[in-house]
Amino acid sequence: MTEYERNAGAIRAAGASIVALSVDSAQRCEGVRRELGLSFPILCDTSRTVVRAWDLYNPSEMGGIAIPAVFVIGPDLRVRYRSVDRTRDRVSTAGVLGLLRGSARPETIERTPIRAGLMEFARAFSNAIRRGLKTPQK
Amino acid sequence: MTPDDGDSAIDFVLGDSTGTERSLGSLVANGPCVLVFYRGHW
Repeated sequence: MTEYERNAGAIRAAGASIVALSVDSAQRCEGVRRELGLSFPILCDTSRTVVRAWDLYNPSEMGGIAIPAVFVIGPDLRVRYRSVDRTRDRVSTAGVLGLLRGSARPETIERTPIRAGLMEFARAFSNAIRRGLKTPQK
Repeated sequence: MTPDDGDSAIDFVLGDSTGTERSLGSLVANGPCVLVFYRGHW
């Protein structure tokens, strides 16, 4: 989020806008927005309607949260780029900016590893095991 | 289903943290929109 804020001017200069979305309450979203000094809005999907419709809902963590993902949506509502970050890396803002400027193609956008804390790693590990156990046997 | 490259995104209307209602359609009206889903609780 702070990385998007740092690049917000450049993203706007490329003719695009930024919006964040989480399942948190408006009060909590506004707290995050102020704390990080974000110049872009945070949409609050408290009912989980959008994260469910977009299949970006992780019900197994913290009462149900969004799966980190980044989309570039064109004026015709078509998806110009998407990155669903279930794995241990995340699309870089520089890559997204390159795409908006027309200097990068979606398939060449670089990804950067997420510097995760030990707890997050442990959680991801236990979730992976739980998912593995749920996999239907044939 | 998560929309893929080239798919039409499913439009929606949500309130932002200040209570302003925003639709995806209105967000892309003047150019592309970078939509960042984040986990929350950070």
